[in-house]
Amino acid sequence: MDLLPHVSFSILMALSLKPRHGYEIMQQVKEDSLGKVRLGPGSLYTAIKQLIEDKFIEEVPEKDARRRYYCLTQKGWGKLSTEIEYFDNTLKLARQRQAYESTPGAAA
Amino acid sequence: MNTLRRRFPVYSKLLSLYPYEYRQAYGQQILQTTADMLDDTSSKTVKVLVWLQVAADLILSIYKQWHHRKGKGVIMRQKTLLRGSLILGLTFTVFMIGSFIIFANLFPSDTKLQAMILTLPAHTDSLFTNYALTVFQGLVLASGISALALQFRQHAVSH
Repeated sequence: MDLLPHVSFSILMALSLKPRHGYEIMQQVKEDSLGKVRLGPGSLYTAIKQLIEDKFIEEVPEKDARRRYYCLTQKGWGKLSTEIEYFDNTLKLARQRQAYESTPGAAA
Repeated sequence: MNTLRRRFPVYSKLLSLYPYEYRQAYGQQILQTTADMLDDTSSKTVKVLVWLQVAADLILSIYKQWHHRKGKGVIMRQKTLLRGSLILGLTFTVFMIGSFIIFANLFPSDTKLQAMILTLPAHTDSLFTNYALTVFQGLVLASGISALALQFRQHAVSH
C-alpha cells in the first residue's frame, strides 16, 4: 500500500466534511493540524493537481465563479478510509508498545 | 486585464515561471487564493508575513512543478525561451555597464583604472563606441543563450 504524502492526506481530510475551494482547504488543514501545517497556494495546487490526476478528488460546479470547489470522489473516499485504517492500526500498536515500555521489568 | 492580475502585477508575472500547462490550469486560482489569504486579515504585519510565506512557497512549488515535468517532452514554449534569453542578455549588459560606472566613480583618482574602465570593452577612445559595443555584446550573448536553449528544447522534443 502506497501512503499518500502528508499534504495530500490532509487535503482529503479537509474535503471529507464538504466541498471546499482552495483557501477553505488551507484553513481546514491548518485547523486540523493545530496550526502545524500551513500550505501556500503553490503547494496546495501542486497537491490538488496530483489528487485530480489520481482521481481522488474532482472539481464541482459551484455558484462562485471566481473560485473552484473540490470534493472527494468514490475512489478518494476509499483511499481516505484505507489511510485512516492504517493510522488507526499504527496508533493501537504505538499505545501497546508504550504500555509495554512502562511495565516494570520490561526489557531496556 | 483581469482584476487579480491588476492587483498583483509582479506576482502574476512571477507565475509565468511555472510550466505552461500548470499555469493555464491553476494560475488564476493561485491568484484568487492569495487574494483570499490577504483579505482575511486587516493587520499589515500579518499581510507581510503572508507575502513571505507565498514567496517561499512559490520558489519551492516552481521547482517541484519543473521537477515533475522532467522528461515529459516540450519544456517551454519557444517564445518564452527567446524572451527569457533576451532578458538575460540585456540584464548582463546593464550589469556590466552599471559596474563600469560604479567603479569609475569609486576610484576617480586612479587614472589607470579609469583608463581601463573607459576603454573597456572595445578599447577605443570613444565612450559611445565602447558602450554601444557592450550592448552589442549583450545581444550576442542573448542570441547565444537563445540558440543553446532552442537546441536543448529541440533535443527534448525529439526524445
